[in-house]
Amino acid sequence: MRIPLNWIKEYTTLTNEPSALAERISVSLAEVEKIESIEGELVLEIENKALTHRSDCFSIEGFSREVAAITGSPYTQLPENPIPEKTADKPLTVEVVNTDLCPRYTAIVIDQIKIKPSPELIQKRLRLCGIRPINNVVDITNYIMLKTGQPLHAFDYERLSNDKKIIVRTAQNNEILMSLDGVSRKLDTNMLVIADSEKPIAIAGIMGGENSEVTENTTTIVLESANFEHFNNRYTSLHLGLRTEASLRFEKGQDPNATNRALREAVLLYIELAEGKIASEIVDAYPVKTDPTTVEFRPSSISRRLGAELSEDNVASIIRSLHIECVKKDDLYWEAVIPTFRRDIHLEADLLEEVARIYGYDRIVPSLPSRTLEPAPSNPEVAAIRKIKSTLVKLGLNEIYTYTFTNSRLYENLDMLPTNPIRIKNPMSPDLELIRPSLLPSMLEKVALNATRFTEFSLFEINKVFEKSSSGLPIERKSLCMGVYSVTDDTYPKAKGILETLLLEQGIRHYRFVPVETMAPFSENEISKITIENNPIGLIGNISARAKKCLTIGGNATLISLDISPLLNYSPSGKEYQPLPKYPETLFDLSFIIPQSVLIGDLLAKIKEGGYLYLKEVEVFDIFTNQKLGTGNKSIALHLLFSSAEKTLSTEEVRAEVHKIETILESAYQAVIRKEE
Amino acid sequence: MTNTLQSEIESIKTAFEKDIATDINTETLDSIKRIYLSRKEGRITRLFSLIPNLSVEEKRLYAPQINTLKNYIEQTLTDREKDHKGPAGSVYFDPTIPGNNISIGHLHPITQARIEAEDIFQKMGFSVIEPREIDDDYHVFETLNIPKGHPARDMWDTFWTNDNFIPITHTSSMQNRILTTQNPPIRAVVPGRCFRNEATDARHEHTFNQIEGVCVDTDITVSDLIGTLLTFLETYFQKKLRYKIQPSYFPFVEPGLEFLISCVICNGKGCQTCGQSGWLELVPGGMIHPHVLEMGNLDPEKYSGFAFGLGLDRLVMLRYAIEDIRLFHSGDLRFIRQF
Repeated sequence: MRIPLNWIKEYTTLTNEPSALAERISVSLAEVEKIESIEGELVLEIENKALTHRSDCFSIEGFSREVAAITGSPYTQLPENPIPEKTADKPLTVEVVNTDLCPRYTAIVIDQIKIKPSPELIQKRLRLCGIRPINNVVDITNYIMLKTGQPLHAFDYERLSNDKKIIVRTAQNNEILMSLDGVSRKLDTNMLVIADSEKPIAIAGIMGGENSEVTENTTTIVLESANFEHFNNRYTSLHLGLRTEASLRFEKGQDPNATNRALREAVLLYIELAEGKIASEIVDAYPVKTDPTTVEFRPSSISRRLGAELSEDNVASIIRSLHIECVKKDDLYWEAVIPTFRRDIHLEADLLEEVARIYGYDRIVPSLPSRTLEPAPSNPEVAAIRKIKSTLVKLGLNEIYTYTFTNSRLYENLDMLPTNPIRIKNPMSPDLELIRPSLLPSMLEKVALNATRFTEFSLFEINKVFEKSSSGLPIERKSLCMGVYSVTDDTYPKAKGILETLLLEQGIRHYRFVPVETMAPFSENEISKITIENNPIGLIGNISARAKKCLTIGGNATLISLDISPLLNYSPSGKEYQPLPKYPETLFDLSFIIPQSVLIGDLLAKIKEGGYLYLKEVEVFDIFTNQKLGTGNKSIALHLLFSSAEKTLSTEEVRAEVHKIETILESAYQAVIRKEE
Repeated sequence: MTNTLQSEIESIKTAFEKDIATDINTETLDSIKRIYLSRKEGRITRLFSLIPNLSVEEKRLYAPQINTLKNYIEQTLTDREKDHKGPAGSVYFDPTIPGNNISIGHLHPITQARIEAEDIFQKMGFSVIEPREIDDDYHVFETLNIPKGHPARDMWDTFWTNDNFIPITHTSSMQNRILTTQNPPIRAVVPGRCFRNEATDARHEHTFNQIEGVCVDTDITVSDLIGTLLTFLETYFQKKLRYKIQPSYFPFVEPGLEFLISCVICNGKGCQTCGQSGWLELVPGGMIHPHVLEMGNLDPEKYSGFAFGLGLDRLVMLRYAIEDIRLFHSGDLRFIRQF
């Protein structure tokens, strides 16, 4: 909103330098974004948002009233001149059907109007406030709106239906009105229109219709000064995508008691600047009068909530400076009479704000809430995720953030689009219309991006994925996604190693990897489920050729997707200390040949099932295939570590256990034990 | 003769030790080597040439001594050569060669800032609560005193899902849940992802990170809000700050305000970051509106509280003078690896 300083000066004295005044307004009312010099005049640009609740400030008069209170200067309301008697008696009736949506409708007929340009003062003030001057008839409505905050509208009287009846009603469904901007507007039954007996002639409080527009041939007008309910006005404005100076004011709630005075001021200008004559009574449909309200408040409570020492009189005089009368009721309570132009004040808390900003936030001494020494409770999930992230970073992974919003095309290309995804109704762009059910596609995109610059890297992201729920709010799950990339090396063992280290760090020992045949975006037969006690918690696999092609990834990439909830139960007290071995450990290397189809995971599980006295660890240190081994075979080499807490093991004792293992391998997998060569 | 030989051995040793004691480089080392070990006229070579003419007794006495001297000189020279040429012996050791490229992982800078902020607030008695990311109208707007049709809804450019849920526009969406599930004194911060349907540029992102703060007790004041924000920001930025307050409007607080601090980049002198004003508008906040307390089943006569919303992305951008907010979601390792 733009406020020319010279216009304010008609109402109050400005003693401050413009920049000091702007600073004062910023800390007491709303931010002054800049002071501009336009056509040789200084204009304040005010941030509208901070005044969303202050409909009274969207006018020069209301803004000046505030500036006077802020600067401690007197505010002078300009004298109101009476309007002359009517010189004609043209018929005009008003019927308000929806009085809840239109609490007041005030109108008058003016004839013998001469359309011409407005005087320079008016034109200039309109320009300074950002409104284009058109002609005297239109400019007067805008000028009075800027001055008083009350939007006005002029209809061409001759273009109304013959009975000259104005009806304020809701639109019929799909009723069409061509608005002044030349756009055909399709209305619905929530929208309020101004109509005559035959047709809608304006969208109430937003924009007039072309069919009743004032033209250069107009001589007689109906001047409307009405009050419209703000929620309904905003609904219409939003649904039609039509914001105007009028709707900007109506949607914040205007004072119904302001219509009449604004109308009369405009009439005087029509007489002065357009040679108009009054041609009817003022028609005023105002069935339920809005009266000032009262709000009880306690100066003591206001002062305490501020954390500042203000006397009763201090508080009362600040409130009075804002044109809010107040009287003392008893030892505790005062009563304030809230004028109808202050539609934002309902509670003591609202008066607290008035006192705070006029007293000055800069005078309040900062303090900290008093509290006991009890520590703030910690959030175990937040702590666990911190630990997970820290482990991954130690393992050399870099954390990335990607958007929750993605697109169907990517998911379709990867064959990952769920049947019933959550979509955004009003996306910023088609690329951001899908709420993601998985982190994998976003990870693939970032792997592809970084693969253009780096030969080897590992990424991770922890964020939420979403799924529709039949019972209301979508299901949100925190998910962990990792991407391990290398131009040259096989990335699977590294990724699996990272994952296993992470699981162990989180205190999870009994996990298993179970091969899965196929699942996008992984390569067929190069995927495994990760399970804990037979519950799947995630997937690890090499990405498919399709995914590589779709995202133009050249090298090797292994991705991991994990539901994070099973990893959150970690507690440091869950770690078990093992005393260090007292007696020497014996390492034995065992190598053997088995069919390639035997899974190492199964084989290790099989060995561990055996039940041994001394076997502590089994580690695979070599796997290879070559022609010498025979087709379909592979050679495996294991480190077997034996120890006892009671004694030094003899060669025979170790041999016996090794033999047991050899027997198991031979019987279960037809293993051929390789003897030392 | 034999006495002469004895003194010759000793004098060679003394001379060698003198030669080697002076400041030597590779060239002098070579010449010393020639003087003593040259096959034609080296002093040690000459000593050896005398041995065949010695008597058996003399041989027994002097040959080991000569041999020892030779070994000593050779060994000393080899050691000194090593000192000059490095372990391999053949090339110079260059201590300025590049170290191995050992890459470590990096936490996202916003995660780092979030951890810092959470820790500061936890020390101040605030617990950490995480929000839903898709929530309903009731929690995002209605319980925050923003009924349907309220013009203040325009302040949040809201996304809607096809089921009419909302990717949260602010983490204030948790206020009602916090107020209804906890008993005062309540002190909580809510870090989380927020979403706004606004055009993106270097300063605006549709996805960003916010920390909501909520504090409710029997006697929480405006001055407590000011003190809490100032303490947090001075701790985070590790410097004394000047601050000012501008009134603002958010339906869930009354009064509502914007907390501004002296620009941390230029210390208030005016720079590009603060738009030459010297001030940064950093934290919107205010005293929790009585209606919001009531909807949280708390009696506004008995309790008062404050709430605020901190932009995490902004805190990180200010700390490192990052010019483009969109880098946070770029997934670009060139960016992430700098933190």
